[in-house]
Amino acid sequence: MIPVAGWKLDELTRAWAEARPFPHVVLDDLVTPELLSALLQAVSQEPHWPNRGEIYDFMASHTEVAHPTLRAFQAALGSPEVIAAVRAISGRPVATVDLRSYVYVPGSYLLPHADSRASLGRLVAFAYYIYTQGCEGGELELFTCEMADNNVVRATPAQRIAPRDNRIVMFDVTNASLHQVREVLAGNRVSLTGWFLG
Amino acid sequence: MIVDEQRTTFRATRCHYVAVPDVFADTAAAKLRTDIDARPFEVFDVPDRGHYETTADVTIPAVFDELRSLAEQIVERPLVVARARWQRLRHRDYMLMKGDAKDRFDGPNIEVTLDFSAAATGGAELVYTDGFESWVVIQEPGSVAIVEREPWLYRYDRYLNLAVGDKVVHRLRLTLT
Repeated sequence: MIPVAGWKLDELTRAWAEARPFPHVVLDDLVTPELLSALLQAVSQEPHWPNRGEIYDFMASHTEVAHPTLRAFQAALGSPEVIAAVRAISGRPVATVDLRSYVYVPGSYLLPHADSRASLGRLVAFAYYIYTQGCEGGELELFTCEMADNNVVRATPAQRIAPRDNRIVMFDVTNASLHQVREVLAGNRVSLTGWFLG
Repeated sequence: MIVDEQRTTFRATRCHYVAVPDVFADTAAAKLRTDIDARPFEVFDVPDRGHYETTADVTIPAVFDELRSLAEQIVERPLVVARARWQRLRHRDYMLMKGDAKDRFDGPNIEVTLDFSAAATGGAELVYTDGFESWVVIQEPGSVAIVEREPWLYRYDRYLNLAVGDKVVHRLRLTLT
């Protein structure tokens, strides 16, 4: 389902290590157009609910996706081949995958935060975009952080990654990996997003 | 009579709060905006705490006294103004609980927030929370929110998304002790 054999691991590993402001990689054309289409179809049949909190406002699936195609995709991300590749790229001892489906409509956002919570075992975060046509905004923005006592004291935007159909972004999870999804201003941004867990 | 109802509302939930409507008339709010907008504001920009314009360097005794007097009637004890924060928020602005935690007043206090905006935004809520339960103050120009800031109570000012258009939210936040 995910053609890991075609991944250039040496290049991706180097790109991960050299990426700024913190380790990340961007991979385009993750799956075949047919599978991308099937995933989009599956998301359209997956129930989504409004989710609104201190730092976010979007539509999201249940914490466990239900549609068989989405479950198969989650299983493929968690397959030994993909796990081995993500371990090689990131140097992190990832073992399993947690994901949900998210739909951002105009006005949706996810404000700056770091995903790091030791108890949750999140090691590598990912966002895989399956529908972004006509989307304005919705970029993944990464910040350079100046830290003191494990707190952010200053942060500046350093990298903005546009959502694009069939693109996956993976990035390191630490207290300093501050990131946000900029507000969607037009169109929709549909993604499967989650973490590789330790 | 109305104050009696507001006192009752203030005490009705675990979070002691009440939103008092129509405290400031449109003309008084407009004059206050003109006064305040003539003063220099600083941009607060720490992404995981907040983004907004603020100043603490403006004292307007008549306004402070009116808000203090109103709060005293609600909480039924004498209060003094310990500090003031003026804020302006536009599209893409917000203040998170981390920002509140860094800026919060040390010790028991009553927080009074006057909204003197020109128009309602349909957003711009103040959300007080203990992390489990939340109490939301809807933005309404001319209204005053009076909240007892218990140590377990944190606040965030909700992100203003594109729905606010080019409207500006003007707030005065007084800390009373």
